[in-house]
Amino acid sequence: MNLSLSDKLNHILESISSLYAEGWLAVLFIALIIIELFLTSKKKLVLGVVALIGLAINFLFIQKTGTGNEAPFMLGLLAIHKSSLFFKYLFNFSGMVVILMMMLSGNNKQEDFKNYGEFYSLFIAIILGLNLMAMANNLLMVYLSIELVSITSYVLTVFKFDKKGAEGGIKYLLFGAISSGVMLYGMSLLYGFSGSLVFSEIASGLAHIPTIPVIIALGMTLGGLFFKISAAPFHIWTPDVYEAAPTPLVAFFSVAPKAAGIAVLLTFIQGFENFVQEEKGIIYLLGFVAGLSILIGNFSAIWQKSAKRMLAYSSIAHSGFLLLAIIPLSASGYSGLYFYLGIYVFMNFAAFVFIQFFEETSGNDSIEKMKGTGLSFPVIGILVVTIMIALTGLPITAGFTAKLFIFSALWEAYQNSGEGFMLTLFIFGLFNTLIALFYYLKIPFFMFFRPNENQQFSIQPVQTALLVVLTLPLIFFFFKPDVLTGFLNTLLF
Amino acid sequence: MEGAQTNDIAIIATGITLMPLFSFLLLIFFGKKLEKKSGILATAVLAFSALLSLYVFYQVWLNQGSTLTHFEWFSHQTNAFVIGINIDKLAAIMLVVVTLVSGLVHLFSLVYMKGDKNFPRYFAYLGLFTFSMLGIILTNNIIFIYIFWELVGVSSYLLIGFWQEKPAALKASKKAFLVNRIGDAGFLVGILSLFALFQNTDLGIIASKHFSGVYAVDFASQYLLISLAGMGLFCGAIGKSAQFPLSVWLPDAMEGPTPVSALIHAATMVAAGVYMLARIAFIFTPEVQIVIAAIGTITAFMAAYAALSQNDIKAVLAFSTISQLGYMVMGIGVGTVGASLFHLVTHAFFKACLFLSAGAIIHVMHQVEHDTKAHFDPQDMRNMGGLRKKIPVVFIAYLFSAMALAGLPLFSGFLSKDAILVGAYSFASEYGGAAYLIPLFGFLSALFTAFYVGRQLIMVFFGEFNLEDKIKDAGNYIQDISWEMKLPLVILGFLSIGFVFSLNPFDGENGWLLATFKGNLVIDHSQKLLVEVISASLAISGLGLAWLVYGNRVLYNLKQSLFPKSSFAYKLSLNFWYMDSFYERVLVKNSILIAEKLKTFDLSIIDGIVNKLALFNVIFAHIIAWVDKYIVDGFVNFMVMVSGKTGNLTRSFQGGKVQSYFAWTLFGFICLLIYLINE
Amino acid sequence: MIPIEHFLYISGALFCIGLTVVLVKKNAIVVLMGIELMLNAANLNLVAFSQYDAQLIQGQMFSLFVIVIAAAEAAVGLAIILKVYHFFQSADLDDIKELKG
Repeated sequence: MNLSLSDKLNHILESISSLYAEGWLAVLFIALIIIELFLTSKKKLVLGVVALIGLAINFLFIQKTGTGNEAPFMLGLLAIHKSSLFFKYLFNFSGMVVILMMMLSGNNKQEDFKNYGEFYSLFIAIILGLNLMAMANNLLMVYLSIELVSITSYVLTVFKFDKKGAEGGIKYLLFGAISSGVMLYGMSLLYGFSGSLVFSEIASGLAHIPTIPVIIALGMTLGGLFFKISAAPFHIWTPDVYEAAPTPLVAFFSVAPKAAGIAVLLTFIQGFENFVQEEKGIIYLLGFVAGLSILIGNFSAIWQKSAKRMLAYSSIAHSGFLLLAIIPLSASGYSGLYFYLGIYVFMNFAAFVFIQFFEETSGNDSIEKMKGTGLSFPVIGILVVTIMIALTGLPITAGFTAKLFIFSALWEAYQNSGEGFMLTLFIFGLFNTLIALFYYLKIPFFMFFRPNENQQFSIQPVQTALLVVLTLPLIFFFFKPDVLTGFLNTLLF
Repeated sequence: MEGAQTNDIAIIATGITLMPLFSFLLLIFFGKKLEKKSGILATAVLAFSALLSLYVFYQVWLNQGSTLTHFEWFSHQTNAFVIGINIDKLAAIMLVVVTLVSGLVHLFSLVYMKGDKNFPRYFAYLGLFTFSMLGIILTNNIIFIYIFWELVGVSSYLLIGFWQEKPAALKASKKAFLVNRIGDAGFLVGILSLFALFQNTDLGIIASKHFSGVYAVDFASQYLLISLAGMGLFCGAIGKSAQFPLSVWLPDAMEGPTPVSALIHAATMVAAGVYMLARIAFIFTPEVQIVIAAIGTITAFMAAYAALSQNDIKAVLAFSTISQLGYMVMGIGVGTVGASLFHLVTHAFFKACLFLSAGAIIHVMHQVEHDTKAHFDPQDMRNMGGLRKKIPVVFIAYLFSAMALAGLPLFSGFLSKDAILVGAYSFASEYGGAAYLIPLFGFLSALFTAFYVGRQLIMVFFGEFNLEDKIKDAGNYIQDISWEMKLPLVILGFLSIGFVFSLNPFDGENGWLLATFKGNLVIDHSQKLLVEVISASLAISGLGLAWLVYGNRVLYNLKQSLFPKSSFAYKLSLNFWYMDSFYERVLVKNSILIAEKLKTFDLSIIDGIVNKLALFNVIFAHIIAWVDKYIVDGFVNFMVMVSGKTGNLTRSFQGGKVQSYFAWTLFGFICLLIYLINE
Repeated sequence: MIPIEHFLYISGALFCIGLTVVLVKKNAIVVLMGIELMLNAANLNLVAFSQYDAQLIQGQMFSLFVIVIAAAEAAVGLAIILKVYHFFQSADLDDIKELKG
């Protein structure tokens, strides 16, 4: 691409038409900072409203960008991939839910985040970073967008301004910085091997390089992504950070950056498709990481007493399941992956909305403290049972359908390739789904089968409504999964 | 079969199913505002459902309007999944049974539960239960059957533990929950096997593929998978229908309100297992059939024996329910599916009547306890006696349904139980040898049944009011019950009469119900006559014996000297064959021992093996966890104890120091890379 | 011209030193310095490799971005360490272990 300067400028100007949504988010980010200057410390809720409206408008911009032709723009840094639109919708939706949760916080003083004005602007910056991750087409862009998301996340983790928050923050930061250092080193090696930073060019450039260095370089690069999606062995930070950070943010961490990491992984794998088909090493790597994540996630979760830590481990296990969907490298696997992500957004947010409600009324998130709440609040109880069943992946919820899609894609891949590796993963995953039953059902168990210890609870009607809105799709998409798959197809293909 | 009409029926049936759900939602959300009205509202909804069910029943049975409607659920690749709504004759009559009994129980509960502080919630749960039960009946897709199956389970646990302030009730609900998990694990295995075999979950498609021999797996594993599917699904039925060895939860379930026992733990839900077995009976291989027949016989006998010595009025009925369910399962096993379904229907009516009568009696006794301000157990039959003059309507209803349970000619139970025994006898004569044990124990249980029914009848309704020995003039405090309670008793009592089901009271075979269900099964008439005579005479002699022992007490002293309270035979019966103690002593203690050993083993061998063992630990914990009620803090702590080692292992990565976190990560990552490079 | 291997040796050594510092040193600020070393190792690679790049400049641009981001990371890191010191009266990573299990 040896263009003259004016050609380059023209190219950049043309590219802007594909960046409406990101441009709008940048404007929103700056606007929130400016508006905050004019607000007294008690009136920060205005910022939440502005951010909420801004994100709602952003839906229009995302739609306007349209489905991608996959042609790279911005000098090859970005491209609208097939999946970009889906991920952008997902981030935007998650962002709105989190801002709502944030604005609802503050039933007790300890958990009052809604008046920390900087929160909203920083949060918009995360969404911007996530959008860029979903469109990245170049190692430089991958690195920049991941860092934009990570650094902002470190800051937000500390936002409780207590001892736990500081500890979680420093752990997150050090772990994240080391992971990105490893990833960067891997990237620099890939650059050296192929002489390019663009995915498709790297793939062709790697053809004449011996396998072992390539696997090491690719492995190191993927390490950074595993950190972002909290897959084993890069998962260890997850529970501590989840315990330390504000609950609405934890809900976001467990969904959006994970989805973005998966988006980058998809671009990566699809860019390297030929290479991967020939050299199975990367697929084995993904398989081991997936298996390990599911195993560690499930077994450690059994042990947990804090609901947030339990969900942290559960999110590690879910990362494993998401990786399982990539392994077949088939269309049905990918569509299963998108379906799973779509459902995962609903069930995880619903779980965290419940925990936030519970945490604020009882002061902490210990599962044992939930004794008898199901009997005192049957509506909440039933919703929670539904959510937990969805997380386990059992019928009457779309969690089951999602797992069914992934497992049948894996089974199909096994039958096509005849590789015992796939079969092992299939059986292993199925078996772990059963184990998951234990810890997920622990919450309903305490809610319904233990007598209430005269605890006082109060529910805000808005929170109940939010819970209902997030839970109903879980049941609806079980009965009519074709609605969601149809919607995904119009977005993706 | 006209298209328009059949479609109408499907819509009406869906409406019948959804109405209780509507009632449930309404009461959950607005129950506190409706208060007293909530009960009336729920009852009205159910009454309307029942009327519509009668209409569906009329259309299906008299106008031949069976229908099967399919909705597309979703399609995955080339495999289309459908949800079928199946309304055949069987489903139609079950619709009537469930809505009718449920409606009557609603009506009865209006008085029985009056003044309870959670009155609206009670009716909400009943609505949820009725909805789920109707779902099991109508749907034709095994996954949906499983869903509704779990839902009836949930409503059952909720209702058993309805009086949360009673620790025994919460404990019983937990026990029911845990025991049913084992059965459901089997059910899931069954569903997975079916799916592997047929790549579909619709029962209609499965049946047609099975009969035309189209399987998705190779020949070698076909038979194995079919047997596995049959055994797995039967496991589900063992749990839900309280068959041996999982029967221990049902007697405890009587801690719930008595009308609930009538509806859920006698008439409908526990029979869901039998209904499900009947729907998938075509899949059973001969080996599976023998297992089913044996389990059914063992259950029928053990429970009937246990019922002989109980003093709690509800406990007698609970054991008799287990025993009668055993008969039905036996019937499925020996291949007379029609007879089992017939017994299911008759049993639903007469057992609901018995339980509601018991409820009425307990209600009356409770009133006495309240009015005299004395303290005694209102459920203990030794406190009763002579009640026939005080509450005559209850007595008549109870008499009719008790005679049906005892299997006396002219009553419904005779027809249906007889049909099962005929099937068992012809099964035995076909196989010979040990198979004769099945009808033998069947007859023996019939004798026991008649005896305990007679004993209960006499202890409650005849003789003198025993409470007057303790409390003076206690009899004067007895008040008759209100019409809301009487009406259900009268209707259900009437339905226990044999004429309702067959014009010839000695022969159910040609009655409208059995004639339809039994299909093309050929019955040897000489065998039939023999069985009829034996069972009728056993019923009469059982009742007579009961009269001689408890009525005019001619043989009472003989009985006392033969089976004193200290005798092993008596204790065996009273403690239900020590099944609970067995689970406690043998399983729980040994499992703790094994867990301990595993722990030490774990300590000595590090890493790789630990993972496998830990896995084993958890599976093991899964299997035995349900017997944990004796471990101090129950299920959860037990899990923690057994998988404590696992926790320590995975937790050791999580020591809190961020640098060790990264050291572990790098270590794991490098191991992975080295493995990949060596590939 | 210096052969490419020499750059690789240096950057590999730098990366390993950085990693060792990160794993071994107890003071949070020193650990941040170790991270800096790791990033600079990657930078060295990027610049050295850019001579083989058709466009000649991508690697060098990349390293500029890395330097900026490393600065931002260090700024946030020091701010958080300040907060940690406020609560724990120590910047020793071994003392910061309340969240675990």
